[in-house]
Amino acid sequence: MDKAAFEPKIVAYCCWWCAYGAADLAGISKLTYPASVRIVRVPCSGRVDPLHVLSAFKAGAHGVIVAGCLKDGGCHYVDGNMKAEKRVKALKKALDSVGIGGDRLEMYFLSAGMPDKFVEYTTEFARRIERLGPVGLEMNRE
Amino acid sequence: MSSREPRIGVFVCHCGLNIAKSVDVKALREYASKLHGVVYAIDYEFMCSETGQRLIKESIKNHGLNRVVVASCSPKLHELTFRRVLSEAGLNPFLLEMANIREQCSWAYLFEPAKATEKARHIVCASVGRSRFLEEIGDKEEPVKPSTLVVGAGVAGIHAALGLADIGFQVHIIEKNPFIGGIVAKLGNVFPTEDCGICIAPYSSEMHRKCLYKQQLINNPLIKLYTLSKLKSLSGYVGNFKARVVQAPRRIDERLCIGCSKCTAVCPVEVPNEYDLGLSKRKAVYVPFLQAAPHAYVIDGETCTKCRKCVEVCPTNAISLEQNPSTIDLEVGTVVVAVGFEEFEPLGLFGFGKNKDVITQLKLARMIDKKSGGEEIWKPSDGKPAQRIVMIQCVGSRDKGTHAYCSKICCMIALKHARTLKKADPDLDLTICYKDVRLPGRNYERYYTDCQELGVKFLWGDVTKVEGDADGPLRLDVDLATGGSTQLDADLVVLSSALTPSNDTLELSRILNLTLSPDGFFMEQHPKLAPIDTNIDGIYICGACQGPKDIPETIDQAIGAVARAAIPMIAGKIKIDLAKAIVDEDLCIGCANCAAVCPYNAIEMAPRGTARVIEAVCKGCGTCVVECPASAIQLRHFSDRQVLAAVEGILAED
Repeated sequence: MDKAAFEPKIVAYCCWWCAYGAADLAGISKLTYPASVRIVRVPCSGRVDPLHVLSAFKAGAHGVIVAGCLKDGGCHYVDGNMKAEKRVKALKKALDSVGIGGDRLEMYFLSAGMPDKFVEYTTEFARRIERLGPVGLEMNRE
Repeated sequence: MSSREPRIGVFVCHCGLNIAKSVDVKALREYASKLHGVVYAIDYEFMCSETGQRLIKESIKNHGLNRVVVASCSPKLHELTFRRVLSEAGLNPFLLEMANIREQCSWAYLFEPAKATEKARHIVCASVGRSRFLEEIGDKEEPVKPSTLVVGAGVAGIHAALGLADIGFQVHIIEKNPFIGGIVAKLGNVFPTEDCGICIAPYSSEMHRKCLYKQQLINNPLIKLYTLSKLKSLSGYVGNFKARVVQAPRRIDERLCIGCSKCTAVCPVEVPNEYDLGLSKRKAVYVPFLQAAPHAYVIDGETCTKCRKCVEVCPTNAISLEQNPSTIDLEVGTVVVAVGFEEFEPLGLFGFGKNKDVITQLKLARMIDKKSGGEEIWKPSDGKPAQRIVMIQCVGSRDKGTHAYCSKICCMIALKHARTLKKADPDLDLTICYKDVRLPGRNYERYYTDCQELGVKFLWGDVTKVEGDADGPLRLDVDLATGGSTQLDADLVVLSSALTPSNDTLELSRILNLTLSPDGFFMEQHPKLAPIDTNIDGIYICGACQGPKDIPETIDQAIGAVARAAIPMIAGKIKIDLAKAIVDEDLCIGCANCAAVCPYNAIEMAPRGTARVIEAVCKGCGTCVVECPASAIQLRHFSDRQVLAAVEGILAED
């Protein structure tokens, strides 16, 4: 595959209260971000299961974002974002060890009023995944 | 009927040109109509309009749809609208799925129609995929008990209790101290009306200077006051809380005590009176001040020597020295937290704690309140008149080393005291060292202009040092904001010390499961839209436990708490949608991981050892699902299957 033409697929799990709202506000503000970022709504980043992350890779994602509320009291569900952060950290290591690479998973914290951050984080992450190219491990091969 | 094979209808909205300008809506409809399970697809200019809604309703009937995907704006805008449409067409509202092709698609790729159209396909594919797994979700009603527990009987708690009783609700109000009134009762006259802090008329009286605490609270048949009491635990949920309160012994029966003071007269023990911050003494059996309420004496168990002299003289046999703590169980529908604040003890700052003539504003308030008309303020060290007084503002406030926030009322307290003192003694040399003077309340500015006219000196700068000799005056070094420095001599230094959360705040936050803000005060649900609500339904906060506040603001909030708490109690019931976590008891292994991780204590372990979700408490975050090793718990409407269907859909190749 021509590397320049590589168009990644990125799943962004966005918590309903903050990250999803920030993505909405990005659109309302007519800000653009890579179309490769595909948003999946979850009630809380703490809802995101390692299973969801791995399944996204299995279904063909080249990168996964978990986006939750700001730290220090920003979470609508007390501390779901902190639980998510812990899980993401552990999962990054696991991804390293199975050859997908922990760099393909990232957690971001933002409030619903930060569309610029949403754009910044997703753009930055998409650029990273473009550099990394397709996932080396072919998980779907029987 | 979720068990039936999905018959999905897709409704593509143009939103005028908001969507149709960049997304090819006709092509999108065409694409959607071919997706698995879709039996009908249509596009229309405005789906949210009356006509659009009618179109959806008619299509549900005509095509036998049992899932509806609306591809339009963000669900934040119209999810409730379209859920209602489904209800009106006889479908369960949770069989709706929205595809956000406006905020997250057409607007983000405004000038890239090919990109926008492709992305819209992904989004619709995800929604259609997810909709296949949607299930009907009902709701249920729970009764709400018409009673409130108010924690704290200071000005906030008292006003909240009175208001709720006015409506006709039963109120249980608990106070950790033997007497009610909180810090306000210590303040003497209070701004902006200069009336007595212990007698401020409640709004429900005819504004007569009735003693609020005695007449209104104690004699109200709907209000039950528990002094010397602390909340030990709280379980349950809005409408149905169970509170356990532990009451320390008063050792004097309130109903029998006639307040004759014979016990105090014979008591041989003398200790500093906390009410006066040690300026006066009290006995081991005492009332701290004459107007104290309830007007029943209390025996301080720590200092009482059990000499029994009081028992012998009591004419009504009200005293029982051997009384033990008691436990009181209460069932209430709502809870109001009004535990107020503490004055920060500025130990080590500006000589406080080392030099007796460095005091705080609260102690000065007690001195002003105690002195008779012509008397001068005295130096605590030797009782001689203090002719030079310096006040230092922002002690422990607006300071990174202690508390970053502004304590909001210290400027007014300093000016109130300065004005009172200068009026009584125009020759008094009084200086206020300040960073800024902040007086935003109505009728507050008058205190500033009065003080300026009375000759109070205002010095803009930072006090860097306070030093005292054995006999000489205190000497202050001040860095002036205008440049340079100066020195001041003072007989008395008064620190305008910060307001901090009351000592019990942290413990109480754990008992109630309430969030605290980074500065340690109770956190409101939203600073503007829900300033009295908390993260727990049915628990409300008011007064300075939520942040520094003056009395007018505190009472505003207390009245607000009355209104908020009354809403579910007047309705008498709450409606709970069941889009919550649910346990499959056959799979549950009883490890209680879910209960441990739940931020709301919404999961209890049933007698047979399996987990059970209390739907009224669960807020549907789903973090428990992730922790379950047996896949026994699922979040309805965001089950693993539903989330994964969306992921697979959004990644599907065209």
